Amino acid sequence: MEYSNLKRQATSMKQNLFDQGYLDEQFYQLEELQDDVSPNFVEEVVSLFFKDSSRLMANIEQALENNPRDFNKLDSYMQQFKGSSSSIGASKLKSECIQFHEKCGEENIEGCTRSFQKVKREHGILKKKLEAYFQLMRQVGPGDRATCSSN
Amino acid sequence: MESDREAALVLTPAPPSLPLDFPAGLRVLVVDDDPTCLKTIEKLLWRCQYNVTTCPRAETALSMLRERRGGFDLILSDVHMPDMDGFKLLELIGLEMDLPVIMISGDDGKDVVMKGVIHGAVDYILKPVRFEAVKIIWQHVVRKYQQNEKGLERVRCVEEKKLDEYGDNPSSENDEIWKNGKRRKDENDEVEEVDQQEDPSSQKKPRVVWSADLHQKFVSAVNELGVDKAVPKKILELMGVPDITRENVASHLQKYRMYLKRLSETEDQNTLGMQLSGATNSTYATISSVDRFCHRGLTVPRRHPLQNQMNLQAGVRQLAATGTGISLLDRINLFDSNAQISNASKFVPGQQLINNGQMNTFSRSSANMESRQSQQMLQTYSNIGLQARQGTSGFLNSFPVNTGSTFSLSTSSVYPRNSIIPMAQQGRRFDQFLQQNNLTAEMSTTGQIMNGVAGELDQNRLYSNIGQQILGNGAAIGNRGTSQPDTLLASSYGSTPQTLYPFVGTITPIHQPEILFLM
Repeated sequence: MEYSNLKRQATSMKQNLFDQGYLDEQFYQLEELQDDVSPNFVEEVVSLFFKDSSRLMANIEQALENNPRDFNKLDSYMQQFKGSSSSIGASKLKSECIQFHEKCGEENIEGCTRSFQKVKREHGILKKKLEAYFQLMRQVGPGDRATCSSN
Repeated sequence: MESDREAALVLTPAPPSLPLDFPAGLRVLVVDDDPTCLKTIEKLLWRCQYNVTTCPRAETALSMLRERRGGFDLILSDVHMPDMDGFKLLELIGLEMDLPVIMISGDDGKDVVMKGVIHGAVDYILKPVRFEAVKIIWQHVVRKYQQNEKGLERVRCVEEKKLDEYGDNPSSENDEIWKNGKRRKDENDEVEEVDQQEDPSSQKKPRVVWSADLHQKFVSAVNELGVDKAVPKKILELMGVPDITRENVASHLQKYRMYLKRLSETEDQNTLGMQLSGATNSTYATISSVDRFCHRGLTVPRRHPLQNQMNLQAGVRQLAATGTGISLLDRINLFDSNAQISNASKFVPGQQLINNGQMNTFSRSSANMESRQSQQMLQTYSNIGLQARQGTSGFLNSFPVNTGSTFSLSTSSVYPRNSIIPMAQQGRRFDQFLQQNNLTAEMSTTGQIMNGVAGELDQNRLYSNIGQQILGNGAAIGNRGTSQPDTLLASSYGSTPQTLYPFVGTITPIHQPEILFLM
């Protein structure tokens, strides 16, 4: 009972993330890839993402403070960020990256800075939400992760 | 008979004999500096039952490809990578291994995708990579095989025709090196080969591997004859290499000419400019190149102290007024020590600095770089390339200094973005290294290229005489400066020949001493 409650909770948590636009179908793709060989694949990839993206964000932060700004460099950092965000299905985060890319193109430093603040914010929110989700999933247990994958 | 042969020319070669479970086991190499993407794509490919190898760095990927020739069928490469531009890697792979390369990126910009096309990628996949996208990438392997076979078929028909006409064996194809990178080692293939060998008239011509050394000879010969006037027969004679045919040379010449053309075209379109930006804490910085350099025990000539905040953007060259120098390390950083220099990549569009009044200053300059600096940097560029190379030596090897041979410098590519951030960083460390080790670094610009080519070269020659013209600050063309460069070059020779296509360089007319050709 406890178990099926947990399961239900996890499923609905995930559904919310999709409904609210935090995640997109790429996340399903990750779940599809999870199998016996890599039973924790999704969580591993997501952890890897947050670890790497923190590093990237530090770089971007630094680059934003440099004078003069190298918009190309900033943009390339953002390209990478966008690529990895999209690889885990982080939809809102990806959108913010695209915004940032536009600001870089305009060479608008204030725009870039503001946009980056949004990126940071989204990053933080997503991280919290996914951490909560995976925590729940761990409680649900390995055998049921597959079933928790919707569609 | 005649008509049979002619018919053969138009026949599409039969598809390769593939193992029953093909494409299972397809050997794919994935290169991406982003660990999240690398992990995801790797898993996807395993799902397709491919045999996957991953590599976070382009240099490592290139080494792997070189060491395991014939060990991979297909490469997937990210576009924006810090240590080497994906397009550059693409070109190098095309030149050295002739394997199909698919670009992957989150960047769907028209320009970027176009670059993929121009530089020879067989496809471009957008991130996030989906299963459907990679499921059928095996088609590129088969297609490549077919294209190769077609080429061989054509060659064979031509040869047969000649046989008819002249009644003698046109070349010693039998002794040609057989390059079999794409063949799968399985029964079917072996059977196929044996059959072919038994039938001399249908014997396939082995593909020649254009090693750095061989290519060097080729380029020297072409230069001697003049790029426009060079013909395969004469090139072959000048090269004096046994076991290659006129046809091998002809097809290589065609490739080379297309490469040169691409170079000149992009150069026209490009706004030359090195984008420089201050880079303080680049996390991209790697010490490795410095280490390698250091281990060689080379004395790096350096003329000018590092300009702080210099960050060269790969591929964008800029000729600027003489200015402060860039630290050697910085310059070295421009070239990814490994692959770049040694691999004379094809001319990457826009990278060429030509002092024909086309020199521009930094494009989009948000750069803080002054022209001086860039100019210096440019110089350094070539130097670094030469000196920093750890694997490049092959190329350098083949070209003794002062022989007018061409030299390849590879630069990170034209496409701005990730590449050079590490440079400045490395530069600083290198400075420290130098200090610690009491090494003198002076920028030696002339060292390398030198082959006494001086004065103006016509455009074509310039292309092939890369690096020769890299001049030091204020140095006259052809001025060798110290002998250090020689030493450097000499000591850097040694390892695997890797360069293929020369890096184009030009000499600037006298009053503009710094001309840097970066490829």
